[in-house]
Amino acid sequence: VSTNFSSLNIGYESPNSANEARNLLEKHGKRAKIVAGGQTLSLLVQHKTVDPDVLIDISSIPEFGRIKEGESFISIGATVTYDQLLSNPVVTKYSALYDAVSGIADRSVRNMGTVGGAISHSDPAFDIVPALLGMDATVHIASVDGKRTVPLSEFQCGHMTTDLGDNELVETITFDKRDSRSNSAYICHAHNGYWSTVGVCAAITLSTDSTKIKEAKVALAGVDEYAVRSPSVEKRLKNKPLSKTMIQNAAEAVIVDFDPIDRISEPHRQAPPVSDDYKCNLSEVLTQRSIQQGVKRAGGEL
Amino acid sequence: MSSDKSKLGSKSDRTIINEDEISVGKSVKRIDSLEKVTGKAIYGTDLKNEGMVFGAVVRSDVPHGQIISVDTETAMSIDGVIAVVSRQELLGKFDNRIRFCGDVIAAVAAKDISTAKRAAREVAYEIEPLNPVFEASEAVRETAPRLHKNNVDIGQHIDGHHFEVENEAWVQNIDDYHKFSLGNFEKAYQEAEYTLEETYTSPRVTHCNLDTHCTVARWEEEKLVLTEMLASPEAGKKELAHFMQMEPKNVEIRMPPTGSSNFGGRSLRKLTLEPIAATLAKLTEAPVKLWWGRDEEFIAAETRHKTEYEIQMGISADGKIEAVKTEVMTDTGAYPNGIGHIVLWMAMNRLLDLYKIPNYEYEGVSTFTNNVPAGEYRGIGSTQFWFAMDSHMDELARKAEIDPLTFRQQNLVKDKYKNEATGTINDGTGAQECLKRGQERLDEVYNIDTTDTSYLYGVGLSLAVHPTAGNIGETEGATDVSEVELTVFENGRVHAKTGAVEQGQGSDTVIAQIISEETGIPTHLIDVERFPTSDSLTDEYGSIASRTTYVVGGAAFEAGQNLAKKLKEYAAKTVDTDVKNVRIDDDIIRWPGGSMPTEQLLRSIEEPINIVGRHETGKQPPSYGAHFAVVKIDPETGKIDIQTYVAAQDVGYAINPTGVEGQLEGAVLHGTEFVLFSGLDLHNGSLQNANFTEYATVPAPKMPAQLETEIVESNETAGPYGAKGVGTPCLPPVAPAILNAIRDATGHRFTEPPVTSEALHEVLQP
Repeated sequence: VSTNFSSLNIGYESPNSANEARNLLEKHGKRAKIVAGGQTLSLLVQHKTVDPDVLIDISSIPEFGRIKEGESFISIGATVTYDQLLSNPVVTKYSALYDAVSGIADRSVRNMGTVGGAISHSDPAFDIVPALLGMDATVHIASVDGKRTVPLSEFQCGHMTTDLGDNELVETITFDKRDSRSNSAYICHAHNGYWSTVGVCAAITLSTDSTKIKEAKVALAGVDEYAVRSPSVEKRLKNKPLSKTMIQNAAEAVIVDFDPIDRISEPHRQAPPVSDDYKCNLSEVLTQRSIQQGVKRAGGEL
Repeated sequence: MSSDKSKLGSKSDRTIINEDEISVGKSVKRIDSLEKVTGKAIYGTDLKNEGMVFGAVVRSDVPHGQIISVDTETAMSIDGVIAVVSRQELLGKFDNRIRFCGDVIAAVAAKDISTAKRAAREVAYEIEPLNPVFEASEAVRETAPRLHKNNVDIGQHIDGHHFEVENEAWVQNIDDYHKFSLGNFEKAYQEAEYTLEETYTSPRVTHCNLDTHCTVARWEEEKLVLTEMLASPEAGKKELAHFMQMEPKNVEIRMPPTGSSNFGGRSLRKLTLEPIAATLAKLTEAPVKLWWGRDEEFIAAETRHKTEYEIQMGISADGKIEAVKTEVMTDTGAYPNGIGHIVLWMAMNRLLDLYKIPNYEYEGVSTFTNNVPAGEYRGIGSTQFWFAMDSHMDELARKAEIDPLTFRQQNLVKDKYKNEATGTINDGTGAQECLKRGQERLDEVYNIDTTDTSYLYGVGLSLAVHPTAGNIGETEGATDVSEVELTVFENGRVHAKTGAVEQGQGSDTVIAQIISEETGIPTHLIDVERFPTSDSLTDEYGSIASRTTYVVGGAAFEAGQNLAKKLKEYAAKTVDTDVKNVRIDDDIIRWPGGSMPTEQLLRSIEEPINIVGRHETGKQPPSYGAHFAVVKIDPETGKIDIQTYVAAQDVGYAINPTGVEGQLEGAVLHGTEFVLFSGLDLHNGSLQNANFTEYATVPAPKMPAQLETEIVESNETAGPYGAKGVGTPCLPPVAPAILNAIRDATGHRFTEPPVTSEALHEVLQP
């Protein structure tokens, strides 16, 4: 996706530091939009869903483009691209994240699209968001007023709507490192190969003897107004001995937690549109498969 | 295989070393690739002129109605607006009736596109709604609202087909009609051992050309000059002149420097493009660029006809086809353009090109409705027809427990079989060869691991035929003709003016190859250009109906031969020898005791050499394709993957094998799109998915994982080096091959594509 923003009479700023970006955002407030890779924003501008007066391009701010491995956590800068995630040996240990990102659109989108951009748009069809929900990711937000952190699950608050204030931007995303008994999977279905109709992430931690699920996080794309966790499934998995029947039983609970919408509202409708029944079926099947895959990857036997 | 050599010439036996540039039958690199990949190519939408103004169309959001008033005042008062014109004031045979959502109400010219579009939104109008009709089956009834009288002529097409309807139930809104019968269908059907009756509906799909429609119109006194990508400029010129009630000589169509893709979407002029630009150019006395947005492209660029086929077929116990009855109802949309006739004509005639059918009944009607207009799309009529007919044959073979390949083989025409509907004679050898070679290739490459039994696997094959070059061969005395002019300039370059329109298919390269083969002049010295319609050279149809290599290539062949003769004469004179002693080898011209590269000879020329080649043919050779698909389906989600695809296509002779492969691969893409993904979504005539977010196209990951092309060369006696058409004939077999594979995997016959994951999932529920 590429748009010649200059032809749309939109101002364009390219700050070189985080402080500069925060100051610009303070100055322009809600008239401004942050642009990183532009893969979502370009479409929204073209469709006139958003109509900014000025774009603040943060893609050349060095600190936003880094992936860091701390003692207990991983930190990913907002402008890290999908392609950079896929080629980073630290990130690729997080299987669901790798599954999700490697299936995003096509190479040109993966070369340009960024983690921060995906998070900040809260689009229900984005594959990366359930994967990050499965990691229990935290969003690091900043403005001239200071910094704050919000769990990703709370950061999203509606269809294409987030907790970001007018003068705030997402700077990094962090999540805890996994131990050897944890692993994850993301499985999605997209008839046209691009926008997922449904995608499910299962992040599994096994008990020390690998016979039980100690804890599970299950998150879905495409089933609600934004990517959501499924507490009912997670509850049915917690502390349960491993078995295919148990997983099937847990997966059946997935439809308790959301209200499937047959046509995700503008601008990312499904092509072709699908029925609620089919979406429920996909949710159940893919939840079951991603849990099984996550368990196997974590070293469990089924 | 035919042992006859092409009358037009065969590949010579001479030694050729420089195969990268001089040779037919080799994948010579494209002569237009460098400027395209470096972004230097200038397409129609790139055109800019001094003083150019920009047009926008005010389109209707009601499907049917009478325009009561159009108020242009507010729009006219906007700064930068130069002209606003109502429908009634447009040049051409426009009446005051709106017939589809997207029909033209008014038009605006302004200093830039955004001002024009803004002003278009400010044009106020009042329309008195009329009852609309959206279903072809309802439109023909006596009670339906009438869009046009039958056999209407509003100057939308030339060479109209006059018809008398012999069906009492089909009364009005009839765009075209065909009926044919052979033998006694009813009796044979009753006596048949196995019978099958089924209805198939093809979806309304569109080309999705990357470059949307664009024309630049200007007037040179009485003459209208249009610069635009139009694949059939001569026909377009005549049709526009007819519609705008002008002398054909006063309409000139020029190509932009680089043509953009077509697939039939740019074969015809468009009701809401050229006449509007022409009117605005006249009013503003400036060149007007009218460039459609993507939404307009979906609405007004003319879709493939949505068509319903009701088929009955009866076969004997040993699988011989005894009786076929086909009833066709096709929706041409709001205006006539002559294409409904072709859709019906293909459905009527193609079956008898391929199979021996002793008892056959056919009746078809093309109707006017208040839907978006339909027109040409790659493999017009055949693509829909073979989807239906080959699906039907596959199903009947299964019912009779006959191997699908054997069933098709044993019913194929042979030994100069006469197609009684057209009078053409076919022996079907190319088709036999495609079936045989396609199956062999599939056996060779098939390596699908079917051990995971949670998936369903299926194999399907299809066989289809589509003619090379339309409008000839089936009409008494009709011929197709083209001329090519070659000029050798003093700088040593050869300029070829041809009737071909390079639209990405590689025609310029093929023409250069032919000239090169005949003259020994390397392709990098040959410039190929489409001549404007004002030129004295003749070409009737441009690059449509897969005629380019076959007809224009024939003219290039003759021009090349004439030029070779001139070059030899020139060389003989220069070195003072008899012309009989001069010969061309590779890119070298030789005479007793000496030689010179042709390139050097060309540079020594003192004054331009100019020659013309002409080719005329009345033969319309059938081009066959046997395609094979292997699918893998996940029954729990309905996910479908085409694992292996083999396209065996009889192209007569492959002048550029890589070009042929590209055509076949592109056809698999178009066919996959039609069978698994696309469909325009119309609600009460209004298009709901006029964008690429909601209109599904086939993405690269959904193409077959393994795609093999098998080029069959049957040596067509009427084509250059034995070549015939490939671009359109390779599409019709694709959809049925995939549908037959799905049938094999699931046991379910899908009759209304697109087949989505959800549809597959639904039929696989216990």
